[in-house]
Amino acid sequence: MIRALRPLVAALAFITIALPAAAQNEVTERFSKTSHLDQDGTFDLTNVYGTIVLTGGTGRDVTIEAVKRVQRPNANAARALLRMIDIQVVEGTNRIEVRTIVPRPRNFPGSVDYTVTLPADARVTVRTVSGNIRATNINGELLKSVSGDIEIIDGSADDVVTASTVSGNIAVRGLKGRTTQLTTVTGNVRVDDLQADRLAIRAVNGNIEYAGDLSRSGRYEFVTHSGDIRLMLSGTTGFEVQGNSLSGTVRSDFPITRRSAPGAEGGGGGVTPRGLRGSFGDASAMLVLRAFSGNISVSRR
Amino acid sequence: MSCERYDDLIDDYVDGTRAADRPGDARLAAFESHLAGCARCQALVADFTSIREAASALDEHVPPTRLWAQIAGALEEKPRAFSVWIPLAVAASLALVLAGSAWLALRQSPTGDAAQQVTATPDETSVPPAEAQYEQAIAGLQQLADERNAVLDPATRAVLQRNLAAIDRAIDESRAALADEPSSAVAQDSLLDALDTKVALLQDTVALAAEDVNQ
Amino acid sequence: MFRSVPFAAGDEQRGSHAFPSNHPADVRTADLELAARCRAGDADAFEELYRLHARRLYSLAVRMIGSADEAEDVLQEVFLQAHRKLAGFRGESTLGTWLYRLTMNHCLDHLRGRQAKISRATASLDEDGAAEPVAPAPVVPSAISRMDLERAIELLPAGSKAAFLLHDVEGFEHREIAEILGISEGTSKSQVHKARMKLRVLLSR
Repeated sequence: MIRALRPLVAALAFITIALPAAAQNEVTERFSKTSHLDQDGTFDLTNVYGTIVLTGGTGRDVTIEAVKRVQRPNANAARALLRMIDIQVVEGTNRIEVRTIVPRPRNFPGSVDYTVTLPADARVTVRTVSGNIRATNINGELLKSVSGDIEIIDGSADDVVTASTVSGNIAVRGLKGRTTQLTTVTGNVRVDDLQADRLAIRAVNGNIEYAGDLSRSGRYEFVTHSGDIRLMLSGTTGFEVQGNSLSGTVRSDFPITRRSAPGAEGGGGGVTPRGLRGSFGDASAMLVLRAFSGNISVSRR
Repeated sequence: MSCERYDDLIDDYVDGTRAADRPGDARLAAFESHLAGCARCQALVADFTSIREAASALDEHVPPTRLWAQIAGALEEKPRAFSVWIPLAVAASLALVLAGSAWLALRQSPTGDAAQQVTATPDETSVPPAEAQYEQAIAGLQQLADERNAVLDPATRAVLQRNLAAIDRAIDESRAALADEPSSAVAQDSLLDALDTKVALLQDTVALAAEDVNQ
Repeated sequence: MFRSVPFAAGDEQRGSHAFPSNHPADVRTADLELAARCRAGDADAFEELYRLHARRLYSLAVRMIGSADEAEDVLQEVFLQAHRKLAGFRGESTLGTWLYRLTMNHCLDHLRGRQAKISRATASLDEDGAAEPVAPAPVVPSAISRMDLERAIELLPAGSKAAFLLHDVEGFEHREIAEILGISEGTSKSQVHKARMKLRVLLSR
């Protein structure tokens, strides 16, 4: 470099490279549609990116509000991309399908946030790639996300309720359901005041917490690999329990007519199976708790 | 210096123009004979030539593949439908797989005997070890997922990979525990749980990427 | 930083091979035919247009603007605009030149938008490099690294950068550059000269 210019060019190079990305322009577009569903209608929504909020009500109306959103340095490009996001609503016989269409999802820099109200008795299916889902007062749903938290509030389901995420937390509160399945790979699961006949929760890396009553003759399975399981039980329902953690501790507030799992004390090798097996009260509910390396505790709420 | 009057010809010269090609051009001829004895102009020609050669050898920047799709998408009358998920049953039929909700049937292992682990396959005469069935399903699904997951965006792909790795760690830990304590029901159950979760995740990955199949 | 990718074999050719400096009738006919097919809504034809030109236009945009993200936006705008304006394409220039002109216009718009920020930074580079005494020996390495060259190009002011990219990188003739940039051939030549002089300074060891 010619010496006089060296520091100048170096400074210029720094300035050029260090220029902040041009300010992002966000453009949005609202979408709105009303429809209706008769008794036990079906509502099916797929999205790519964005949040989804569903609320069940007593009427028969369905309102779908959506906000499309794109951020780009260039406002014209943002608007062009916005036009490429298509929300398709297909109405069939007592069935509404909402599809979010993008040309390809690869790195598409846009999102759609949905707010939907619909009859509480609708059978709802929501599938999205990235984004949180909240369902309030819905009576039967399948909610699936790859990255995103799922929240279920209230609702009185006579059908299966499934919430499944790969990376995200699941929170269920006040639901009355027949069969409830909650799965996450990475994330915590928290259930409060559920009335269910069957509950199955699975996490790989995450804690599971259950607070509330147990249903008489309910069957509950809590499985996590590296994470704790905490049950905080209220009410009077008795239960039969089988709880095992390979390397964590297992404890219970409840007097359990306990039988240790084979080889409990002073087991061989580095692995000591810790078992909790027995029953409490009338043993009407069934609990299976399994943690690989986490702790298990069953306590009074 | 008198060189500067030729500066406009230097570029032509560097670009390959020679007096021999332009017989009537006296200036060009004058420049070339000047060049023969001028270090300054030779230096410029040499430098300009290096720059020109380096410039013409610069690699292309390749536009991201999505760009065409985005443009085409704006122009097509009927944009391609992108279904995020295909029905799980279809995905399940793509590979030998234990019923996804099998694990809901609470597995009970009174004797801790691994071979008696309950699966939901209803009409099995001989019982291949559950683990082997899972492995087979996983292999099939993994292959499908590998073939197809390029269609997913990098962030989603990364989430799926990370979580697949987390499940694999759980599988490895369970296997190690089982190796230490072959009669451990917990270790066996943990292993099957983890395998089951892996199947479910691979099914979802395949389903996510399956929109290409439908087009 | 730029994503520099090895040139893939096959595909389009560069510079004057792809855009012959004469204007043979067969090129013109092919262009008009392709344009007509695009206008008629032939999606394959438009995709063909894209495949023929996108890479070079994208490379140009990346180097003009200095941002891959914004270059993507520019490409998109260009092709969407091209689709709209193909109705008016009469074949006075080649389709390629026409697209280059659209691309350059968009790039220059982008740069003007940023002008305030970088005007001070490049002001000194706008000075006429002829004031710089020229050493009587080559100062540029005979093998210039790609990264050094890309960085140096980035520092050129818009006008000479545009001419340089079209001439030395893309291989256009001054006559074609004049058409693309809407300047005279003489201006094109002097812009290329200015660019080379500045690059010489920036790249000297």
